[in-house]
Amino acid sequence: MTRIWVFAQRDLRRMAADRRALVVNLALPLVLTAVMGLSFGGGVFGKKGLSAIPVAIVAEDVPEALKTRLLDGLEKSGFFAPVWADSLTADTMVRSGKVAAALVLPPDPLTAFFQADSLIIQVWRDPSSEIKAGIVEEIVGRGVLRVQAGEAAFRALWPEDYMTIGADSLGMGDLLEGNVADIWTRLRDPGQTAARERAADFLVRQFDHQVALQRALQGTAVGLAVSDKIPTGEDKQGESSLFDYFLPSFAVFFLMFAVAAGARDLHRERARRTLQRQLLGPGPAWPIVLGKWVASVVQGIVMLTVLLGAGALLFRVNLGPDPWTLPLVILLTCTAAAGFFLALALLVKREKVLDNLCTAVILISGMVGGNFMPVDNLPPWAAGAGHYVFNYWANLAFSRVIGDNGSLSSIATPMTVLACASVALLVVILTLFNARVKRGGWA
Amino acid sequence: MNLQVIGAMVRLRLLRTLRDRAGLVWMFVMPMVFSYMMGMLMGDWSNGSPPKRRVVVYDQDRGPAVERLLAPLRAHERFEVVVVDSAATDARARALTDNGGATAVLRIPSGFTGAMAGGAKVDLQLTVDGNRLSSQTARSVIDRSLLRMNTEQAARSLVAAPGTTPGRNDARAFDDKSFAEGWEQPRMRLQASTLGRLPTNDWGLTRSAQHVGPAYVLFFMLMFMMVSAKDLVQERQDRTLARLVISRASAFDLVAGYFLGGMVIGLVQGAILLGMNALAFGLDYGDSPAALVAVVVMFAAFASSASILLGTLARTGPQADGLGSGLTMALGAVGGLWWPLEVVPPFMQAIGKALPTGQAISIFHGLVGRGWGLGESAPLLGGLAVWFVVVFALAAARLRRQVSA
Repeated sequence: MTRIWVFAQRDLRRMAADRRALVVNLALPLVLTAVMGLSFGGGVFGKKGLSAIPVAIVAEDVPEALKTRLLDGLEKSGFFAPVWADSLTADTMVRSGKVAAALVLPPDPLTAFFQADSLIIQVWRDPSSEIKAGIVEEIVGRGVLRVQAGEAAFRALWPEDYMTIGADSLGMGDLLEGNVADIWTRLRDPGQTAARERAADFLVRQFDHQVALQRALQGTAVGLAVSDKIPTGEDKQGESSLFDYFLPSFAVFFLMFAVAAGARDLHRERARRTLQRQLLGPGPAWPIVLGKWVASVVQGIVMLTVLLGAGALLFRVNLGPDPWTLPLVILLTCTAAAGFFLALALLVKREKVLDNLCTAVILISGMVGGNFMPVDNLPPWAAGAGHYVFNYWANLAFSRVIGDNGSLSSIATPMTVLACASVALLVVILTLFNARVKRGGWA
Repeated sequence: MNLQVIGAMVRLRLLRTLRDRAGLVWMFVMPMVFSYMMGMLMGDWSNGSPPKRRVVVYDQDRGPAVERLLAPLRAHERFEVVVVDSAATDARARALTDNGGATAVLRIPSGFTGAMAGGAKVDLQLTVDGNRLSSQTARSVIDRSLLRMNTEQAARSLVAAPGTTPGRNDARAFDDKSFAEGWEQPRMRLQASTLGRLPTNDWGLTRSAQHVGPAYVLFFMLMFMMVSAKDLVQERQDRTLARLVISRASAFDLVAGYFLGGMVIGLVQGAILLGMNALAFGLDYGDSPAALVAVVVMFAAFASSASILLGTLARTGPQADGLGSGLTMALGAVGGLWWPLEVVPPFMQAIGKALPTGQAISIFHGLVGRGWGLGESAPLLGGLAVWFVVVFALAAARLRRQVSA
């Protein structure tokens, strides 16, 4: 045990003295963590998530009062930063990227709503704003869907009141002028002509039916309770953002680089003949490689702790429901990572080959293991391959603890896989190292 | 100026790069692997049908309403519906979505069909992962189907009972045909269009690959240049530079040789990668070859200058390697090569767009999405030129000083 710790201590001291390694293993991940934190918000730097989406609204002939209310409503939602524009200006704004999208209502929308056979709401999207413009389209689409559902029901229930007939429509233009209060006053005004009375009667029936339908729709027969991995705004655990996903996944990504550098050290020592001198010492050979494994594990633990700690301090990232779940995930991730890269080091002959192999393995396993993005969109073969890399299970465990505030019981599967992988890889590196020493491969 | 020396340096650099097989893998193979994988991760590649995702339904109701609810999901090309006639706990549903066993899990309690016929209210339980596009799509499809059924049920409750006189807001009957027509051919419709270069939605930046492809070409061009800075450090340490100066090369020749050598490699790499992306993934680079050439040339010039500057600043090869990788990653992340700048806050967008990586990818977006030519790209090309001039001036000054020392 003493020999293992002596070897481990020596490696750790050398790592601490190597400024370049510190820059690559700690400073660089910290800088990138800060970049991600600033990019996706949260913590002491403000609100998480996307900023308000700039949207142009084109609505000609809309009463001023309605315009103001619509603008206020959109602004207060926090999702949008709306501006009124005519269609030409909106087109220019969208094409130049000044707004992510434009919402274009038909001309004279109130009259069109009651009279037109076809009512088209348009969303013009900025070609460079796939995400924000997509969100605008999605939100408007949901609103339109509700209206469509209401109209379909109205049409099935009161077909005679669904659309105005020609005579009624004569009075509609005058009736719908001004703001909502004006329209309502006019509808109740007894001094209307016959056509306007019919139109007023039509509108009153419309309003009354709409109110009745809305009341009926409020008491829906079947609700949909959605349990999303991303907590909603009302979730007491707090807000969640892409940063909660990216922080641990990038920490694991950089951990792989750090541990791979530790594994390369084995070849460097061999090239400098330090390893051979150590093998000449008394006692068995395996404590040498086990010492390297311990040093890599300790280095990984320090690295992950610093990164996640910085995330918690600066960006208020959740560190799990209790004090032991996250440390255990960190420990098993580091033991699996150290075992994996040391095994790779023992399988190749030269440092340069190992260098290229490690970088390729890290990048590819980073992709299939979900270090850059959730792997859901990968084809089945690639997503399936992800299950064979340790970082997939590490990412899964981290995302459940940090993203979902999951306890040990919720990460039983990934923890078991990581523990088994750690033990198996440790056996593999000890066996490989002893075999190479016996064959004289390190001499 | 000795053109022979400069030409020889460029030729040697090119030969050395082309002879390094591992280097070639990093120059050409890894960027393509990245483009392919990241294109899929950030969305689906349009040229190919997306994989079918499984939606697991735990059906305890087993009534006719379930089939109506699931019909749109079954008809959807992205989903395969697996119905299990048993119950599942919250933990089981969550585990299935988290482990990739299902993209969404829908639990239908007994009494669902009854509720749709006017019985007691029930809640369906849907477990999703909002991080996944397919999960969000499944939720939308189920939401829409349920909305239709709920609306129909609510509307039927307004029909006056048979034999009674309908009140002012009671309906005499519910016309199924009108409801179906109203649902399938609604009067109010949403029409979304992208105001870009081409009048269709299935093009350009609506495909994630169209961002990812050029982004990783730029990223790997910069990465390759920056990590090759260690060669300059090595040559400084070996006194190769000093020996060259003693022979026939002036400090100016060395600066020009290093710069042009890096630029040629960057241009070759950029041209081949852009071509491979266009051939393999059908990427589109807009209608202005001149603007495309200009952005690639300016970016290669910047990358080559940055590589020289780093080579003169780093003390050791490994230091240049580490700093080069780190700077490339930071410039890539902040400049919008890793994720589109639109998802970051305005101040980070401003910083990103001021960086050479942000300027270059914004030009690509303009070329592809807005049909920019040289005129529209000019301000951003000017920004890239400023970066190039500043970095080149610093690099040249340092290299000349080191060579002269």
